[in-house]
Amino acid sequence: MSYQHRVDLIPSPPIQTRVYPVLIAVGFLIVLAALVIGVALAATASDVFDNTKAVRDAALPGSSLLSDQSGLAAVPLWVQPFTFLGIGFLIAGIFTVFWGLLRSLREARGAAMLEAVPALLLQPTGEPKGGE
Amino acid sequence: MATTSETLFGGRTVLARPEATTMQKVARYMWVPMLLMGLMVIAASVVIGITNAAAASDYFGLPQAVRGAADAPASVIDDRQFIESTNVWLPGLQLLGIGLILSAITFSLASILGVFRAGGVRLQQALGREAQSLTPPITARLFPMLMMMGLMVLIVNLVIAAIIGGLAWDVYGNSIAEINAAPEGSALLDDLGTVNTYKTWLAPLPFIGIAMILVGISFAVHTILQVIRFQGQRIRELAQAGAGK
Repeated sequence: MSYQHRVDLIPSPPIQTRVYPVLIAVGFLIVLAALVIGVALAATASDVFDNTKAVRDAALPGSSLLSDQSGLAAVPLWVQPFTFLGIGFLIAGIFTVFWGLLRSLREARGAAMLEAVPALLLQPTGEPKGGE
Repeated sequence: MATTSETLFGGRTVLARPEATTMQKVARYMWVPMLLMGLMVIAASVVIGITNAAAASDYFGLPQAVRGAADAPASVIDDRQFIESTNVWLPGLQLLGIGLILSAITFSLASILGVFRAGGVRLQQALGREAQSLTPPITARLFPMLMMMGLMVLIVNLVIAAIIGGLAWDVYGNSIAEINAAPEGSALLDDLGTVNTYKTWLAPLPFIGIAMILVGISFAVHTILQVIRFQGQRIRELAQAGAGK
C-alpha cells in the first residue's frame, strides 16, 4: 500500500487556502505596528511627564514639549481603530479559510463520498486491519 | 524522515486504534471550562465597569473647585483613585476574557480534529482496510502553541497592568492640587510619568495576544480542511481498490 498522497483523486486546494495567509499576515502586521507605535509613544510620554505640570502648561507654540503633548493626545485616537483594522483582517482570514473548508467539504470529501460510498457498500468487508 | 511536503501538509501513517491524539483528548474536556472562565471574566468586567461608572458619576457630579482643592474630601480622592486605577487594568481583564473564549473555540476545533481522526480509522477498519490517517501538518503543530502564547501575552499584560494600576492608585491617592504641584525629580512626578508611559503600550499589547489566538484558529480550521481533503482521497482510494482499479 502506497503512503503517498493521491492528489489526482481530488480537486486542487481551493483558492481560499492561498488568500487567507495573506489576510492573517496583514492583520498581524497591523496589530504589531500598533504595538510599535505604542512603544514609540511611551518615549514621548516619558519626555512629557519629566516636566512639572506648570512647565507642561506653559509650553510655547512650536516647542517640542507642546508638539509631544499634542502627539500624546492625538496618536492613540487613531491607533486603536488601526488595531481593530488588524483584528478585522485576522477575522476576515478566518472567514476565508472557513469558506475554503466549506468548498473542500463539498468538492473534495462530499463529491468523493457520493461517488465512492455506493461502490464501498457493494464490496465485501474483510477483517479489520490496523497498523503497527 | 519527513519530507518538507509532509511537514507542511502532512504525510500518511497507519493507525492501530481509533484514538484522538493527547492534545485532542485534552481539548475535548478543556473547551467548556475555558468558555465558562471567559464568560465569568467578561461578566466580572461588566460589574467592575458599572462600579467604575458609579464612581465617575459621583466624582464628576462635584464642582471642579471641590475636586481640585488641596483639601478635597477623602471620598472624592477615593473615587478618583478607583477610576484611574481601574482604567489601567480593566481593558486587560476584558481582553483576557475574550482570549479565554477564543481559546475555547480553538479547543473545540482541536476536538473536531480528534473526531475526524478516530472516525476515519473506525470507518476504514469497518471496511476491513488498512486504517490510514494524516500525520499532523505544520498548522496542526502550530495552532496549540499560538493559543498558549496568546494566552500568556494576555496574562502577562494583565499582571503588568495590575502593577501599574497599583501605582496609579498611589499617585491618585494625592489630591489633584498635590499632583499638579509635584516638583521636578519628585517621586510623585516620576510615578505619574510611569503610569502615563506604560499606558501607551499597555493598550495595544493585549491585541498581540488576541491576534496570536486568531492566527491559531485560522491554522486549526486549515488543518480541518487538510483532513477533509485527505479523507476525500482515501474514500476514492478505497472504492478504487475494491473495484480492482
